[in-house]
Amino acid sequence: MNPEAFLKLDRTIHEKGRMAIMSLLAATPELSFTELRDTLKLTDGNLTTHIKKLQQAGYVGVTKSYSKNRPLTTCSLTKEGRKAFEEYLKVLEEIVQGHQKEK
Amino acid sequence: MSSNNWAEENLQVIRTLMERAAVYRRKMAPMMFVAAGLGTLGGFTAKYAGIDTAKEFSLYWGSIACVILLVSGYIVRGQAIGSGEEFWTAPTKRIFQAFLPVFVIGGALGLGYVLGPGGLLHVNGHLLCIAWCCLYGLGLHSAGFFVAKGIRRLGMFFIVAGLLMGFLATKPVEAFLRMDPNFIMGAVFGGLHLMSGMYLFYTEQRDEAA
Repeated sequence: MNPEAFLKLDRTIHEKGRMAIMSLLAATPELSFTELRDTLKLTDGNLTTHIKKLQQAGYVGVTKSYSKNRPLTTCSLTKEGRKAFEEYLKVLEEIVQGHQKEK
Repeated sequence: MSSNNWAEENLQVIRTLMERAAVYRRKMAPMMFVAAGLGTLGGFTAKYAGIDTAKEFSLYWGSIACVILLVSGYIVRGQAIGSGEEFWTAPTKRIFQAFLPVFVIGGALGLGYVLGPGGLLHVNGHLLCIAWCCLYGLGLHSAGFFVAKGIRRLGMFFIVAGLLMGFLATKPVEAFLRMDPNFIMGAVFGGLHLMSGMYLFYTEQRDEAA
């Protein structure tokens, strides 16, 4: 395996929970906190921690509003987040292709 | 696990999750049965309702389409409440956006007949059948990209049915023009939705069992 490719992987995204959050958000304009939690079967605390980390990296934007008098938190990928996720996918594909060439 | 395996597995997980977020997950079979039932019923009752101008035909079938849309919306809302989810999700928005252009064109076409002189049911009604069938097929085909199974194929069936009607309306065949447009609407919309509903009913059950 080419270690350079591995080192290029974005460590913020390269974590099971955060990678899953980024994948879901990459496929849709926005998702509510509840939808993310139920789809990924994460606990509220776990999901909050991951979202905070992604938010600090500037990859995810969080909007708080109200729907039917209940608080609604929605998450979406930022422009930077989308770019970082695309780069992450590119590196993963490079790793897979590199290994196939080695064969 | 080799380095290649985890990279491939990560890509697979990403692909699956992206599909899950983008695909409309509500059951479609009940909506198909509603469309089939009301479509067929519409075809039968038109005979007794005395629909014999293009204006009445357009108004009658436009109303049936609105009822089908409302009932389908109610079913989807019920499913969303049942599973504790929101009604207006991102995939629902995409389905709506996929259908919107063809509904606008089909609606405008029908409205043109309602507000304009209308004319005789013969030929005008047949033209509406062809146009609505093809437009609805195009809408289903577009929406089918965000739905799990079968809808894109149903869209193709509607497009083929529309084109076939167009062919049968040309000289020297003209067999299509001898048929009652209300019967055609009932048979095509009722029949194809019934077929699709049955297919979806069994595949959705199988998917649930899996």
